Amino acid sequence: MNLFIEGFQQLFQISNFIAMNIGLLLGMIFGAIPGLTVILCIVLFLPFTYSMGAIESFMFLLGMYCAGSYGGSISAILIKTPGTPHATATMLDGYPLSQRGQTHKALNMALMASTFGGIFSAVVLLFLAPQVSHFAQKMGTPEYFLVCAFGLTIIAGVSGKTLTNGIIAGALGLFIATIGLDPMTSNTRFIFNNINLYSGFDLVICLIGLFALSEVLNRSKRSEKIGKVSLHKEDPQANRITPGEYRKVARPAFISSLIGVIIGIIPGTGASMASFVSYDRAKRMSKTPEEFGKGSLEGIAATETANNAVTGATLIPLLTLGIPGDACVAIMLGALMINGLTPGPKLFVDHGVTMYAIMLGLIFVNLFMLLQGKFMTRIFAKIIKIPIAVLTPVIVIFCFAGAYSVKTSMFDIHVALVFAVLAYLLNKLQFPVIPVLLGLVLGPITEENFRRALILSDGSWSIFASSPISLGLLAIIFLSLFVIVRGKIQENKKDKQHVPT
Amino acid sequence: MRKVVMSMIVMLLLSSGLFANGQSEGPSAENWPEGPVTIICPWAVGGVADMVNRKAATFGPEYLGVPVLATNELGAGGNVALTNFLKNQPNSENLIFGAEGAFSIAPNIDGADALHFSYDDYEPIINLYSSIFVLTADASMGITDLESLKAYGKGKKVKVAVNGVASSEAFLAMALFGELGLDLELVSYNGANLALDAAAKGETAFAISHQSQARGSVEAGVLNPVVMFDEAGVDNDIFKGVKGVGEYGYSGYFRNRCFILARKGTDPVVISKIRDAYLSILDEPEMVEFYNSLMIEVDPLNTQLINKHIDDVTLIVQSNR
Amino acid sequence: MKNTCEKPTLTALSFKYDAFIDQCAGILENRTLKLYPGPTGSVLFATLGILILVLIPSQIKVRADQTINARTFPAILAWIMLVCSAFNMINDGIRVIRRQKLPFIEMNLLNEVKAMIILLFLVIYALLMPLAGFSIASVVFALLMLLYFRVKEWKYYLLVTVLALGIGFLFKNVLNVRLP
Repeated sequence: MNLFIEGFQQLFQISNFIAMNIGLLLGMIFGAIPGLTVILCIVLFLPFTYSMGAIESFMFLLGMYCAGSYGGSISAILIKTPGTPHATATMLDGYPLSQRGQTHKALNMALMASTFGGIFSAVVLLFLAPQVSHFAQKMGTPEYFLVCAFGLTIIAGVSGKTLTNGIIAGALGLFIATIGLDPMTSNTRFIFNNINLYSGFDLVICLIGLFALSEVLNRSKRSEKIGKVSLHKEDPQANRITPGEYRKVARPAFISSLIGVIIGIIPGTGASMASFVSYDRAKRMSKTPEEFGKGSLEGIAATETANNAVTGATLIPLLTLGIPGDACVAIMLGALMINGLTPGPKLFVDHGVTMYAIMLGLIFVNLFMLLQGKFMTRIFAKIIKIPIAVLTPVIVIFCFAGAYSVKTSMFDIHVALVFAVLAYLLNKLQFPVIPVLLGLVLGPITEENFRRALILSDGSWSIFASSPISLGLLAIIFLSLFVIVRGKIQENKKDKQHVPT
Repeated sequence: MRKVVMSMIVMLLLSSGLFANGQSEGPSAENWPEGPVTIICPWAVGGVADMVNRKAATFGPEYLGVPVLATNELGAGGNVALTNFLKNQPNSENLIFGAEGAFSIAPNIDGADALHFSYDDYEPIINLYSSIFVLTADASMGITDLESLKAYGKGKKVKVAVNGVASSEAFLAMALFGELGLDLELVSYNGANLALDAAAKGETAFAISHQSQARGSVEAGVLNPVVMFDEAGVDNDIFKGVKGVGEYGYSGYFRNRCFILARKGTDPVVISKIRDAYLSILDEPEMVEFYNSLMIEVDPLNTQLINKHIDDVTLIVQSNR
Repeated sequence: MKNTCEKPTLTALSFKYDAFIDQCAGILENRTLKLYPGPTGSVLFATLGILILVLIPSQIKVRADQTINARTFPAILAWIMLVCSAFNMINDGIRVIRRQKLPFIEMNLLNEVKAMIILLFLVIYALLMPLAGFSIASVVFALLMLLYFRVKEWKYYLLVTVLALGIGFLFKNVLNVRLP
């Protein structure tokens, strides 16, 4: 309790709050602009933290991390271009809702949901970190693989009309993810002696190509003469979220927070998987699943709570075990070490006050995100009033600059272009693009954990059923496969009944 | 009309040729540096090398008289940046970091065909820091030195968690277990922290990592240090009393080193200017404290010693791949 | 003097340009291409699957002692593509036998040409970047896009030029990214 109060005192310094709010602002802007991502934001501004104290620099980084996690949804909703990989699921419902003239509603729902998810996970971090970390320690390589395998079953949920096409697209994404160095043996795969392919394709580059640039190519479809015409009009009447709607999204938001926390503690999985899994769950548990993909508030709430619930959860293995769950958190690990704080089991013993200050700080980060978000959404919503003749080149310029910045490499810009053409072709051939992204996200960790598990067990497959957690996960996987197959059979029956009439 | 256009094109080509010639001569050694110096770290932002680079760069104006810009250029574990660096002329203001990974390991493993540079393309100037690797074991097994490791490992396949099987850690493991006569299986994890965690959970029981990375788990008593991959033990609170591989009479060890490189052909005057500046920077009390907190050593090897380091590691890699 | 002289010619030029484009568009607008996405996709991915299987031996080296190795995963994925494509082909085949119509889409040639033009601009932008530098290439691209959208107001041209230069400045000088 003493630590708690002292932590509070440590946190309540004006410099911490300034750093936090600058971080939030930067994160939101980087998250919202297609082509710029949270990780790029953190990388570019990290040097500023080298002169800051532990709490201050952590507040700065957490601000960017949380706001970036939310910011991706802004462009997903406004211009059908997810600013971050995990906002892709938000786009599925956010953009249609915005198209219906309810842009503010969509943006507000995303903000509220993000804040809820963020605070939920911050509270879990503050009060349950030791227990959660204990649970995380029970999961090992085979459990990680099973979680990934479950993640792959989500492909069925985002496949659109034909399941086989979704599977093919997923396989394509998984295949693209194998290009580069094999993580287990360091053998090269499909690099054709090109050094640029050595470490494979960066997810951010793929995202820019698959969604941002391909959307630019799709601009050609709009047949009207586009001089001043903006994207879509807004209806101020329909933009309030009613209490009934809040009640409707409460349950999916809570479940998604749990999913976000659980997936967040697993290293390497991250926000994209959490948001897709939550989207799928919310759709299956919803009373109105037919609304999903057409502007469902539940869909937006589920994905946004989940991806922000990941933020606090990834800090649990970081702070208790010194394990960074994703690239952003890995950089935070460096920020801790530079201040002489070594993450690991003793961190809470040696630096309890600082830790409590940081964990309490995360709650405030989310609160300030809500405040700033309220203000910023009003500004961002004006984007839809910008003529697309101006908006389009600006987006492309940001995308090119962002793609180049990741590795300061022209090659990556070419890669993004190739992915744009790929997405355009897949669209034409009626293959869904989202499974490709899911494959890219899940491919490396799925394969790695699968093969590592078999090395650990000397080739015995029984390792995948050797713990209660594994058995539980296996049950969940088989259950969801069963549901998918049953659903497809019912669909086919319906189709056949429709044919005679 | 056509004549005019043609002659204009010829003029343009000529002038651009002249312009290019003028550029390629590069700055002279005496006036070096003529502008800001850029030091490229070919690895991730936030890593040890990056932090050292940025910290050292803050002293640039004081010792080199010009601003020093610390930047990163990623891709293929640093190999992309090293390839692109070859575009620089000798005596350029651009310098780059290198390590044994690019010059001793990469040319000797799968994917070497894709490399378009070699160690001979660069002029090593000074080793900026050294980091010593440590073998740790799940604390519940009670293995604290090589004797108990030998006793434990007899007749079984010992699994060791490493950060990638083409890493320095992996070759250190192969060299040591080879000399011990033990059967080894490397298990690759995506990062040293995950490798350490795997050892702590008992998935592999052993892990190899930098000292600083193992520190948390060792302090908490989850992992035991077994041996340091150096000539002798180290003198810090956490790993005190742990013997070095060299003390047991084995030779398969090396440190992770990070040195500054210039383009081959750079004037010795320039090289000594940079070397002297960095020697002074490494003496700064702030730098010394920084190195202590990162658990890395000041180890300012010169060109000959860096060459020897590369040769030594190459030998270990070639005999263990 | 010069201005008054040039203005009418410019307007005339832009009228001619407009008329020319409208004419071309008119020709293309009513032309459509029939595309059967089902069979096309199946053939494409079946080919890709086979290509992957053919390339694996030359592109992935493996150690002999492992049963599950670096080749396993890509090979499984190639087979998944092949099996699913085959499944789709059989389904389409059954439809043809039952004399049902295969679903097809009609591609509007105008739309496709427009997409090609945007792609061409993107490629020009990417190729110009290392030659002319980020800022100049960005300005050129932004102006091309305005021409594409057939914007007439000079203010927009000024606006995107400023924006393009601004973004370049932001990345180079504020964020310290070494853009080409």
